[in-house]
Amino acid sequence: MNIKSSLSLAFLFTCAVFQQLHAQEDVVYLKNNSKKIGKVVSISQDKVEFQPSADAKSEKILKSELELILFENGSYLTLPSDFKGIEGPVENRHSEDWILTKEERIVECVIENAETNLLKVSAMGDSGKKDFSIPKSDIAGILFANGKKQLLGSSPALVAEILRKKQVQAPLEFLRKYEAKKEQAKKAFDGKLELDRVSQEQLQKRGLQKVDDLGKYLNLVANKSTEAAVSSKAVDQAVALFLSDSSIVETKRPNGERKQEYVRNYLTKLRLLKYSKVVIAWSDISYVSNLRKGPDGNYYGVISIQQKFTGYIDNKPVFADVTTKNIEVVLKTYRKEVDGESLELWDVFLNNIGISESKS
Amino acid sequence: MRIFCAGFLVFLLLGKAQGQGLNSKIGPFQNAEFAFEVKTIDEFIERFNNDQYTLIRQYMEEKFPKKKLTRLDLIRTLFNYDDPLWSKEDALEFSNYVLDQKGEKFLDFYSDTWYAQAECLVKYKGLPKKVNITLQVFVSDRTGAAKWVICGARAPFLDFSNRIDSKKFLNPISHATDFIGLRKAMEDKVFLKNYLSEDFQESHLNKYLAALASGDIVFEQISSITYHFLSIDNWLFTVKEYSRPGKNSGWLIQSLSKRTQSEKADYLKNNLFCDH
Repeated sequence: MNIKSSLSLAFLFTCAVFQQLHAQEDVVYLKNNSKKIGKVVSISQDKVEFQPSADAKSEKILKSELELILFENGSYLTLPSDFKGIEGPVENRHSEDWILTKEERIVECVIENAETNLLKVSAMGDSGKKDFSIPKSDIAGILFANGKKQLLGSSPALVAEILRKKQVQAPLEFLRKYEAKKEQAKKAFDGKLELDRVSQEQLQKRGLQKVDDLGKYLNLVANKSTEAAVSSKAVDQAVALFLSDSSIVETKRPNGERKQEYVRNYLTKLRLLKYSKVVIAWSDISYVSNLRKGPDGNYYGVISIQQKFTGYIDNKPVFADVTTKNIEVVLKTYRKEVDGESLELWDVFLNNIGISESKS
Repeated sequence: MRIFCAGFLVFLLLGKAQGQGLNSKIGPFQNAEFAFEVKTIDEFIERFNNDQYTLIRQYMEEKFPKKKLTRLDLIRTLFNYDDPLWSKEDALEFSNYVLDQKGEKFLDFYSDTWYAQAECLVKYKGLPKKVNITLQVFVSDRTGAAKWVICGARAPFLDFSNRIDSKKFLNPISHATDFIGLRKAMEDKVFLKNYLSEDFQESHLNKYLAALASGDIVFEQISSITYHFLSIDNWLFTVKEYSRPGKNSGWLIQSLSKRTQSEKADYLKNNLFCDH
């Protein structure tokens, strides 16, 4: 209940890393379970020459130390092998996406969405195209036709073994039990899809932290004693808490008239208020809704919180009101390249802010 | 009936004792009122469904650990008690039906049997008018993603004239003159309905969208919202926001009535103006 006291925990909440995707580069897997990402520049009888990046010095690795090479074009090479081409064997390229099963089979299908823990797949059935939802925990890996790959924690040795055997399983034989039925889909996506209670609470805290940060910036921006440069920077920092500049803030004038402004305009006008000092405070108690998945893949929720606005002239309070603010929060994913790997990160942003009636 | 209200009052008093020391002017926040207020329709659904994480439950557990909240307690907090448009008899029967041990009834945010109706202010050819827009939640079967979509609209000022004149029609031999009378019919705007099939049904939403597209209508703002729940068998209730001081505030049940399936279908067509 004492939400503010738990806000400090939110500082500790770093953006969740849900999945690792390899960007389209060659990936060399060693027998010691490590890997190197970059470009294979030559393959000789007993060595593979490898360049981690365009401006880096190439290094040579003994073939005997290698388990597997996954090429950026979707081809692969399991070791040992006498193959010497640097783009992988042509016959190992595949025009369909491959699911590698834990039963060491390959299932050909079309991956519709691999960005969450529930893999969305389509394949042709007797009566046309069918959709399937497969928990990633049920499979060993994914090799996309375009060269992307997700090994999902499987060892390179297991993946190499599956590719060596190359036992292709009829898609429906594997996928049948994962068919996405209409009613099941609605149940499964009951606003909590892939977000367990712990994740919900962490994300809610992150949202509340952003609201708290917004309050600090609002106080800075609105106070006449704040230097122009500091105030200007605070506006930028406040806007950065929002999903975009086009987020809308609703305000209400003392005569009851409501106005809607883009967030940057709202903040700029806040600087022009007649008060010499403004204190904006949030209540300790707030309501945070569940997060619901939107068509863009982001999750949307609302934080309802009381805001007390007090305007001072010559250090005397001349206006005060308490309003309930309904603040949309958006859990948004974004990608970040780290050491040649494309990491999928999540963060919470504020969006439109509406108000309920003033009560005092 | 008395039990329905009496229980609720006891419940309110429990909360009131906590908030008595608070200054209501420029003083501390009204935390007790805030906890009781149904701040969003999400919270309404959480309370109705007896969600264990809903704010009021957390608040009561912290402030009044000995008070065990039941689902009936929570449902009682969802009614508007100030000049209500529901009867105590219906409220009691409804609560008993929802709480029936043989099969409790719940609300589903993702259901297509509840609607939001927004009363909107627009300018029609420069003049202020009101339009009702009905929305519902659409859920993608494939991705589970949800969004609100417009399913109906009603702009009474766009209605066609209903005037009938039995002398006005396109005669059965009109084709022989290549429908020479059609031009005259199209100029006869007051009696246009005379030239239509008897089973013609106008789409209010289409008319509204056409006026919006042509620029005749310019959207101004929303003035109020009402939620209509048709999802509980044999019952229909509406929820409106009551912004006022006190704990009986926020999104509350405005009206409650018994409705059969066919009555609900009529309601959908005649009150919510949904085309489907």
